[in-house]
Formats: sequence, C-alpha cells, structure tokens
Amino acid sequence: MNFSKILELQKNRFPMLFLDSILHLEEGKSVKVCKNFTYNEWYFPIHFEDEPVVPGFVIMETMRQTFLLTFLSLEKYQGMQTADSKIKLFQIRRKLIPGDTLVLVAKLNNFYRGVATGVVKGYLLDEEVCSLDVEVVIPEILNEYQVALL
Amino acid sequence: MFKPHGNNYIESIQQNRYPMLFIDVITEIIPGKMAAGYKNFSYNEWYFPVHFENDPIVPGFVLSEAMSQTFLMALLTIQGLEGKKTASSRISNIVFRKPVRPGDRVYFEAQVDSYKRGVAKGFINGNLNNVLVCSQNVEILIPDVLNLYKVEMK
Repeated sequence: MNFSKILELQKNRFPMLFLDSILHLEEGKSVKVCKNFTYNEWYFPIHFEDEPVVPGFVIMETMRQTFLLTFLSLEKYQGMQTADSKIKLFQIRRKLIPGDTLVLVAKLNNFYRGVATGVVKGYLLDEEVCSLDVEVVIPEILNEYQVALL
Repeated sequence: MFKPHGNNYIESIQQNRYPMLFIDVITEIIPGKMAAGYKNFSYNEWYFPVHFENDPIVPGFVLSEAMSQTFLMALLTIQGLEGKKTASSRISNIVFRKPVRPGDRVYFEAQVDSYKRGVAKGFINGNLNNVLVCSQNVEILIPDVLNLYKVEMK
C-alpha cells in the first residue's frame, strides 16, 4: 500500500512518525504494519552512546500510531486529531536494536462516541516482543457528547 | 560461522557517523575480499520528508553511499587499515533498477577486486527480496597509505 495513505490517515509527521508501511488493513477492525529500525534515526546516537537501543517510548509510540490507523481508516474520521487518554499495560520482552524489523498488529475492541480501546502486539520474526493495551480519544467527537453545564 | 555485527563494530572499523552512516548490520566479512550487510530503510530518516513530500523514495546518493560503505567494511578490515580515513576517487556504472521505499531492507554485497598502494577497486550490488535493485563499481583511496608511495618532486 502506498505510503501517502499513512500521511493521509493520521496527523503524526517526521520526526515523530514511526510507521513505514501498511501490510494489511481492515477498516475499523484491525491493521498490520511494519517498522524498520535503522541506525540513521535521530534517537540512536544518544540512546545510548556506546550501544544503540530502541527507546521504550519509541516502541510505545509506534504501537499507539499503529492503533490509530484502525479507527482513523473509517472514512468519517480520516485525518482527525487524537489524544491519549489511557495506557493500561505496556510490556517489552526483548531489547530492539538497529536492523530489526518490527511487525505490529493492532485490533480495535471498541469504538464508541470518540473513545477507542484496543490491543496492539509487536512481533520480531513471529516472536512476540511487545504489547500494549490502550485507550485513545478523538476530542472533536467526544465534545459533542459532553454535557453542557448551566 | 561469522556472527552478525551491529553498530559498535561498524563504527570501530570506519569513520562514517550519524547522520551519514548507512549500514545497520554486517552479516559476513572476509577481510580484503568481501563484505555483506544490510540497511533498513525507515521513514524516520532525515531525507524522506523532503524526498519526496507525498511519495518517499530513497535518494540515489543514499543507495550509492550505502554501497560504498559496505565496500569500506571489506577494505578496512585488512590488518593495519582499521579506522583509516578514506576518499572516493571514482564511481562508475551506477545502476538503479527499482525504487526503494520505507519499510524495505536492502542487502548489500561488496567485493574487493584489487588493493594496492592505498588504491582499492571493487564492485557492490544491492538486493531487495532477492531482486537486484542497484549496483556500482568504485575506486577508493586511503590517503595515508597512498602518500607513502608518492614521488617527491625536486
């Protein structure tokens, strides 16, 4: 699938866009993407100087951005701004280094009134290395349902 | 068997550094003969947002430089040459056959044809999923060694 699709669906941009290609997309249900880690990224020279390792926040952000695609691919919500609201569980089971290719699978469990919850898993050669249980909101839609105070 | 080597090893052999280091892992080396390794291409690199805005493609110079750096790994592992400065003097027959995009992993194979008096010649090719995507011939100098053989003018 063309990369411009990723730029179209969500608002993250370089240098905070951690998705490389969409392998499979089922709109409103699940998505499978891949992220290549290469030494020529801005965080590696300083994290760490003597040994490059992918920072935890980058793994988390990569998984979150994968999750965004599941509901932003619905035509009604394309390109909308999102906000983090909750991360229930975040696990890393292995360290990742430059040269690794992470395949991420995100599933949308529930999407109602601008609140989306789901699970994301990351695989390295079919071995599960990270997982995330997350909740993201679309403020624009959520606000429509907010009770106005008199 | 040769164990794949990462960034630390690569930086100990040659002097290219971020953001101009275009090789991630070295999978095979025969000092002075050949080297093989790969580079992962990811959108989170500095040249993609501008090349091109809505259709990121790896620039030709990056592929060419990645090939040259793989070649350096084969060359600079010769005893006594580790960490030496190098200079490109000639690149010929560069061919780019297919566009490379974010998410691709390109395998580079470098072969040293000759090394004499600080001048090395060789051939490198890049494969993506077993399909040839780029290749080039290079001639690279090691000034420190070359200067030893220079004739002094009177």
